[in-house]
Amino acid sequence: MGVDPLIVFLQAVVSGISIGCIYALVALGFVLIYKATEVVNFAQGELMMVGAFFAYSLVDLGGVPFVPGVLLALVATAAFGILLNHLLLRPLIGSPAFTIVLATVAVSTLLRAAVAMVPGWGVETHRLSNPLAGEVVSIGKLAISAEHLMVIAVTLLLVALLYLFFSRARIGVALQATSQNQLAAGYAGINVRRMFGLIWGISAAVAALAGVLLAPSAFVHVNMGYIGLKAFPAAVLGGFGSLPGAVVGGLIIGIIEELAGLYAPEGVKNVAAYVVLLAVLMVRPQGLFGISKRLRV
Amino acid sequence: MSLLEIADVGISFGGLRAVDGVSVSVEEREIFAIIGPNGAGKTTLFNLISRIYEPTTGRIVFAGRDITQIPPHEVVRAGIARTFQNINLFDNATVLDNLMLGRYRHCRSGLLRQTLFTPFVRREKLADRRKVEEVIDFLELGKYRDVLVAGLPYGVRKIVELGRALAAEPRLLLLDEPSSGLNVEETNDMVFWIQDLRDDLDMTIVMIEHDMSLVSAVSDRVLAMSSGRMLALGAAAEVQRDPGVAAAYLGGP
Amino acid sequence: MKFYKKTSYAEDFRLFRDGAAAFWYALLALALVTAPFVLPTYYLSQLVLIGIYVVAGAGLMLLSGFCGQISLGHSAFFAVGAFTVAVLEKNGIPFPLAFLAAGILSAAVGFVVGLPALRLAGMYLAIATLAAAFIVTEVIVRWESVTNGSSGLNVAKLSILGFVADSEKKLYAVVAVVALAAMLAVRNIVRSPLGLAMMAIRDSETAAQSMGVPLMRVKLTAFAVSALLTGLAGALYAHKIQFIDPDQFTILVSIEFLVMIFIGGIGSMHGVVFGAAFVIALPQLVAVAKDYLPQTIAQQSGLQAAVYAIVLLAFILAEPTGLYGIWRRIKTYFSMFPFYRKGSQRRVKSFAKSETW
Repeated sequence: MGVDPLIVFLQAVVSGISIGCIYALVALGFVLIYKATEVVNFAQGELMMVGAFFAYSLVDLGGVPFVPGVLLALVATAAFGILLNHLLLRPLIGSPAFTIVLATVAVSTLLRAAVAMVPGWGVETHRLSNPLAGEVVSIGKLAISAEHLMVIAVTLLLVALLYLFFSRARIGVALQATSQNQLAAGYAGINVRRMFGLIWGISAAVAALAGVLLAPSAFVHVNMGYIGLKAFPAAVLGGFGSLPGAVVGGLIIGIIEELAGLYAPEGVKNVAAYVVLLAVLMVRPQGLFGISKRLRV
Repeated sequence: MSLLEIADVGISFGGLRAVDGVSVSVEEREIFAIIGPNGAGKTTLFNLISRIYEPTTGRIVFAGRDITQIPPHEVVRAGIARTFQNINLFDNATVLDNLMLGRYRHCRSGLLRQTLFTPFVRREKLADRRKVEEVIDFLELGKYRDVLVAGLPYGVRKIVELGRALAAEPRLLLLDEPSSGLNVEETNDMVFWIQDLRDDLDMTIVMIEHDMSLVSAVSDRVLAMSSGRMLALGAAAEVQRDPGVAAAYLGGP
Repeated sequence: MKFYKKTSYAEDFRLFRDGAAAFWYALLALALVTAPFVLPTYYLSQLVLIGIYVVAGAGLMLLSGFCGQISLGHSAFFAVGAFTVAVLEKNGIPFPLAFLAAGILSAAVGFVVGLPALRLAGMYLAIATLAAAFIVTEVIVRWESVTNGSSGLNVAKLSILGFVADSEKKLYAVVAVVALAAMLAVRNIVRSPLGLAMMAIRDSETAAQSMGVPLMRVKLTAFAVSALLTGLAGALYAHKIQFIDPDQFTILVSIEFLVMIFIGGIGSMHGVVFGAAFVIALPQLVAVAKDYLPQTIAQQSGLQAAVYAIVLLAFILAEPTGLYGIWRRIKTYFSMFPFYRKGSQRRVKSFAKSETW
């Protein structure tokens, strides 16, 4: 008895949604920073990697239980993101885009190299032990790994939390204001510089969470960040500057990738995301939810 | 036939009708001023003429040619040059380079010739330079020639922007608030320059202005706008006396 | 600071600023010509690599330094150039034709990538070029029938009409000529109207457009030229190392190129050479320094990349005008001695204007 092609298809879709959630999370963090500071953070993937390593150190090397360990890792990465903003991006405010791009690219290179040099981390792949490892949930004929479900559930939870935060919490609203008009926000009494730090912190924490969720399937290793590069196609597809777009874009990219792996010739899966990106730029540059920008003269 | 014909031009941004049914004809060698409170749509009108925006209604005809849909970089080739309300110069370049860029529309050499820097390219550059020197003389920018624009005072930068537009040898000059930020002396200079441009170079000038003394001294006709619509059109004195205009500026009954 | 008294308009765009400058460059030319007879092969080989990077750097400097467009994918053009030349020569096509084809094909790829991306605001180009680089690499890996995939290709020695570059000296001669030609070509573009238009685009697209600059056309030209030059550099590279495989053309190469023009000094032709020398010299310096570092740090494989990144960050934060900026300061110090003041070269920090929001 062969495997039902429909089941195979659905499994791929579920896997796609799961990896898509990761892309969505990285893209989310990436778009958050972009919206608030107009900085394109090419080191977002590496923040994800650092977060995963923090979690690994706490949980596997340090023996901290999973959930508190992960939460601590999120906080640590958030602090790291704030530090990064303070040391690097603040002095560069007002610099041309080229310089800032190079700066974040340099950071990503530096993080990769630095992580490789830390004893206990190095260039080997590590396993982040998590309580759901190996468990499988069956829905009808579909066998979905519990880890995938965890990814999807946590992503949903986080997106909901972020939504509430930005629409209800005072700081969240202040952040929104900052991202829309820095000058006006400043006049309204919002400490814009602190907001920048905050957004970097949140963004880094989200990236770290993505790293933790990615660890079961991709393992923890220095080159994890390359996976984070897929955040770009996700952000572009969703519409640069659109938070829901980043999430939707990530999911779509994830699904397309898995389906490409299933049905397309070998190698297409590796570049499917980038082909989508170029296609989007050609056909509908503002993506799904983006607004076409207007020139102010 | 008028040099510039604006027929029922309008544009909306979302729900806001920024320019609404503006129809105006500007004659050759006329000095035409547009006045109105902030937000009246004056600069938007300029942006429509220089094709930064696309009108939702209406047509713009220049020298008999319909320019409503032409690509933005063709506008100066058609013969219209402009300055910007918030100066838009090339900060990392010298005054000379800024003015030389004004000559770009006259450039006739392609990539290959420029890569080889053939004598043709060299001749073009020299010709451009001579023309730009005329502009520098006219505007008395000589001592700023090799200074980077980024370090210059506001008034000088405004004049440099005017120079850049002049270097393109336009038939129609769109000046967006030419005297804002200028002191009394510089504003007087501006009056003379505008008149000289019309008298000696046969240029037509449309300017957005807030300085009523400049407007009265120099304009042939004035258009008053408010909320995107035309309020009054006529000689400077008439328009100033128009009750609607006073109401728009001061908030009438 | 030396004041140049010009007596004709033509002096504004001369190749050499004055007699003194021409003299120094003549000396430099002399040094370059005698180098193959004087230097040991190892140093000559490094000069060859620098020359190759200069060719790519000249193109990238035009695109990023002068026209202000960011490309993270120039490794793709490097790869296209290298593989084109390798594949064509394997099939019997002589080097001169293969070389040309490498440039043209790279330019074509650049055109295809630039067309959608350059229509939009700056960041999109960076991301699109990144995407293109990944796609090109993958195509090279998968197209095994032509490129031999991951196994790589052997490349014969460079030969032009019987002249075979079978020694480092001869290869140096070819590379030096190409590098000089590339620098001259870019310098010519920069001092022509097109170059001015590119710099205008960098500073204010709206203003440039209002002065008649067709944005897309000029940006595409800059992009295609830079792709062409990088492709040619790739072709030379293939002949230098004589074995190419896709793994040599990763995003790290793109980053190296960017580092080269930034650290060299954005917006200056000298910067290309300084940057190329820096990028080639740095790994050597790191290797030498390893002997003096404590074992734990020295033996790390990531050390070179870390040093790279740190130096880049140091320049970004402290010396954004790059090595050329430092060089100019030193020259000014000596020419103005003892009147030099620290602030005499400091530029006003102009805030980058965002044109759209």
